[in-house]
Amino acid sequence: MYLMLLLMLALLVVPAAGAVLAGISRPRAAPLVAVFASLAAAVIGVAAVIRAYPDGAAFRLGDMPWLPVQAGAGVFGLSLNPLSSVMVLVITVIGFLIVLYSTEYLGPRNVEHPYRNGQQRYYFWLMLFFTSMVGVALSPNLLQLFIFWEMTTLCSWALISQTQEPAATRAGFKALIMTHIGGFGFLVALLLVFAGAGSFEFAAIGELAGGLKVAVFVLLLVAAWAKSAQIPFHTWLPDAMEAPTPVSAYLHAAAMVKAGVYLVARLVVSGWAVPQDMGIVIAVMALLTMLMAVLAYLRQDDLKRLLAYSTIVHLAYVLIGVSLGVFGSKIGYQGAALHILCHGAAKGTLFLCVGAIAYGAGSRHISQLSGLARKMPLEAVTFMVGALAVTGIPPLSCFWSKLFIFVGALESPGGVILLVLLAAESAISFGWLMWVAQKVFLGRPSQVAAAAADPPWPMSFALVACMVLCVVVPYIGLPIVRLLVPGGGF
Amino acid sequence: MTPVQAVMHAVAVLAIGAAVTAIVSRSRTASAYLALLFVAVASGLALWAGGASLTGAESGSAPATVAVVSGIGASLTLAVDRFTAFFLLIIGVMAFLSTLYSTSYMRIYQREHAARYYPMLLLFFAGVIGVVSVRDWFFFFVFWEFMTICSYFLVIFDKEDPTILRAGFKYIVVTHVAAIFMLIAALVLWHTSEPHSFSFASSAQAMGALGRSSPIVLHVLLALWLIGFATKAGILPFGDWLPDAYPAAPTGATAAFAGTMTKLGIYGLLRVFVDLLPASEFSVVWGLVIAALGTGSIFVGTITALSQDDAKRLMSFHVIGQMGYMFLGIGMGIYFLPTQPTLALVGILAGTFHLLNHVCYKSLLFCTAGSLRLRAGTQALHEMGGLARVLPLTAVMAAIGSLSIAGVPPFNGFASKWLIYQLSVIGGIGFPLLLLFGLVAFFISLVTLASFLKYLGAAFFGQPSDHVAALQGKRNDVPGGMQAPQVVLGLACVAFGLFPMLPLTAVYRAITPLTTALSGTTLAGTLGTSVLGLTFTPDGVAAGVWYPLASAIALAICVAISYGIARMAQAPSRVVPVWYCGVDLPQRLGHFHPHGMYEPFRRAFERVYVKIGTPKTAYPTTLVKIFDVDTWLYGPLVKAGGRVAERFSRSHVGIPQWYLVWQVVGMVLVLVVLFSVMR
Repeated sequence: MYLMLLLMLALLVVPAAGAVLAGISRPRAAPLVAVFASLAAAVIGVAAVIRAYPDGAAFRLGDMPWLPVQAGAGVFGLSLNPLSSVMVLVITVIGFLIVLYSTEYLGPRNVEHPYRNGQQRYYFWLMLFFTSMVGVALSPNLLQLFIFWEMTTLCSWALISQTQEPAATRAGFKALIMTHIGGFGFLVALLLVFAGAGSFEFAAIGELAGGLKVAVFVLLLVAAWAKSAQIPFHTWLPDAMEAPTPVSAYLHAAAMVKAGVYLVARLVVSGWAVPQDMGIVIAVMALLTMLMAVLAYLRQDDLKRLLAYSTIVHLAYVLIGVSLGVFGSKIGYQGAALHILCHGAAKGTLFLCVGAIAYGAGSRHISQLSGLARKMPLEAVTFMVGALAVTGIPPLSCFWSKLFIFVGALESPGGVILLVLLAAESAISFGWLMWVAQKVFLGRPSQVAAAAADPPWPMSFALVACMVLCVVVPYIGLPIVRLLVPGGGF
Repeated sequence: MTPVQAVMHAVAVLAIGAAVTAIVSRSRTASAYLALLFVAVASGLALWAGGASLTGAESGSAPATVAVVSGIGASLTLAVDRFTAFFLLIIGVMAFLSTLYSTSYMRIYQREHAARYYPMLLLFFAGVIGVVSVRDWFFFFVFWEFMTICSYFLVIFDKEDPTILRAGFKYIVVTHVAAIFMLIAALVLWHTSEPHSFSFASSAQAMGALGRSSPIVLHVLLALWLIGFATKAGILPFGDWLPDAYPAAPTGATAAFAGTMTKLGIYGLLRVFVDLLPASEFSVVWGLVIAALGTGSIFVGTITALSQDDAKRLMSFHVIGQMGYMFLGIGMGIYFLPTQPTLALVGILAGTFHLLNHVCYKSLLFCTAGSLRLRAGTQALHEMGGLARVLPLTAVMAAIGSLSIAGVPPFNGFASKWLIYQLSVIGGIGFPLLLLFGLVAFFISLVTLASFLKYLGAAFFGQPSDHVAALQGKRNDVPGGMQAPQVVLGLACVAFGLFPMLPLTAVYRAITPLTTALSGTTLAGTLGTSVLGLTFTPDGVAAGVWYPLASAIALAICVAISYGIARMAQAPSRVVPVWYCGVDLPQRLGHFHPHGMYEPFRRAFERVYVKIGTPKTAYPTTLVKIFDVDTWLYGPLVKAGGRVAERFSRSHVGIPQWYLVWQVVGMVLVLVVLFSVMR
């Protein structure tokens, strides 16, 4: 028992210590500190998830004397349930790969944008983000979740603005403001819950009176939409692509944007008490978001912006799965949880791959790139695997999660239409990504591509590891998401 | 070892082989021979599994469940029934032959890395074997997609040619969409079955139940499946990708596609419409649809093939036409399934037999086209000519293949087509539309002959073109690795043509366990017992006979007689230069180009093949504008906020008098509020 507590505490303390150490160490030592801290955190994270399987773990760590919460409910604590296990896996394992990848990417040899200073600052914020994201996943109640939630927003601002160029600071500011407005909704919802139920527990929302409950849900949804870049708060994410690519891969594909959908998923799984009207709202907004993003796909020339829109679509997928859970389809809900993991691996792969292209060839513009496969065979393979994984080609990662969401759609009323819409999205994304892959990697090498080269080993290692994750994550995730629904689903 | 285990081992061997060939891919030779070795072992296993099951007394070995995805009712269940066994035999042979062919052929690609060919080819075969062995829609889909992706990478092997990339893109998108159709159909059936399951057995039950409760849903599902399979089989209008993608792939892979993957469209068709769908009025409707689609493909595909100049593209259009014959035969068979089992048997037999024949001659023809490419360096017919002198054996094999595909007796193509014609005539008595189908098929047979005479004439006979003349007419046939597959397939064409009863027996054993509707029929009762020929006896009355050996002997005698007459008459023959109406033309200009052949045909049927371009839709700019919240909402809001702040800041001017005024105003406000609250 104590070991479990120790592990979970270490999961927070180790990256936090890494952040501080990286911040105060010399520029050359900062990456090393961050790599070791994140590696340790990844090992601890995996160990914690394994130890918490299948019963989960929860600890109450402290109260605030002046905050009169309901008996039995704590103010601070740590909990590791199946849903947060999924998050912890994404955060720690991909986090480590990202940090490793950053050590080369943020170096002077980066063709697109040589980075010569700011190492300590970068690793401080990155590891602080690591910590706060772990905090989000391990939070047992709304209050603590909110605190870490806002910390991730702050880190996102700092990391997007890393280069301190005008476009980057502007994008960072935009992201900060937009997600913070959502965060304000979270705060109000938090206060409403406390006023109404005298507790910050997730399940406390179920005890609220009808109108208040809906208000709280809507406010939390707004927070989640803003965090996950859903309509109408989707505009910050494509702009945030000014961030260094590892940041985009980590914050804006694998981890931070997942916090929003994680919150909604967490609300649904805590008592399954979300009203069905809310389910409809979630699903309709998710479908609208999908439509928006699919339309936007076709106009992107910047590979990273393309991937950003694809991320928005996949977050919408998760929300649709969650809304299916609201309608009573446990399997759709499990698909959503699995999609958090599967998409994290697949999209992380794609982002890191695009980063490697920018690093080696100096451009991320589809129109300038052609025939890269000859000089960057590893990236070609990785991109193909990532593209096939993210569009759901068996047996790669997103195939499984999408399939469960499809199946969940069929279980719900009117699900055939939903199924057809999702399938259409799948087909369009597939076509578009294949076209992009062909354009960028095949054909005769363009001028930019002729000078490209495979990146150094830390980046290659991260790429290969991500590719392996694309294959194996569903099989790791399946036993975990199975626990989400006791006795239901599969 | 049971057949199922053999199949599993074959897949495992291919997977290991893919890894090994990828590792050693720096050496092309090592990669090639190792690939051949692994494929040989896997082929042996597949052949053993197929042979044992097809000849076994029972209708197939028991299914074995390898893995289960609990909760969604999917299980990796493998089984080798006789129908699967039949396909395993084809796959076993074709996998080995096409790999053998590739080992020599791939030397024409000097720039491309071997790692992109052999591992993919091996994985492709693994996928194909998986597709025919699973008994569960979920894993059927998994293998199907796997096979499609592998074949896509084979198609785009020559990755710097923009035409090839376009072809590959079209291929992957079209077939992926078709696969999604199939997935939706499978998911709906999964949802209908109780308890939810993807297994073939429960989908059969679910189909039966759906047919009674909601026929429209079942019709939609069958349509989705038909589109899925027709797309893979290259049936028009869904198979538009085929004439682009087949010529793009390296020829070894093309032969493998023609021998295995395209045929899986037929496999799926028979699985769904004969095995799973209970014989009912649905069979009648969809049998007719299948036959009509087939006839359309026969006509359009073959007519379009006539005017092609690229050898492989010409053959690819013939794939469409020949797949049409199979659809026609099988469609008629399905049409008769609930009412006249004997005719149904003949239809399905004919279609499946035609499939077998097509595997032989089409793969052979693709191989010959590849041989021409290796020696003449081109696939364009107008750059060839007189190559028979350079490639004598290939020329003979190409002739055998051409005559077979054109349905010239006594080659194998005729035997299966003969059955299709017979059925359309007999079936046409009751339903004249079938007669029309048969007439189209009959007419197109001649078009096929014309088209292949063009191929033979342009490539092998006539004057050598300048291009070929550079080869100096020295006998220089392709290496043994490419010869052997051609010879084996050519011999098969002749053997199946002379003794059609032997392959038909295998086909009969393969298809009868599929449905109980055929259980009352016997092969002997329908096509006679003689090994030398076929006696078509619907309803106990002999309606037609075909004894190929007898015809062959008669033909040989006729040839001998005419030759004898010519010898006896001692007709003189003289060799003169070609006369160009007195003008002294260089041979290059006087050459009759294959472009020019069948020009009237081309003009008459120009519009028969409608090229399906990418649909052009207007980009919904309004919608995009609506979604661009920054421009119409956030931007103005921020600006407005800025303006408000600006105005407010004007109050802050730094003169003490003004602050005094604000304080007084503020105090008054506070007092008003206080008084109103306290009152």
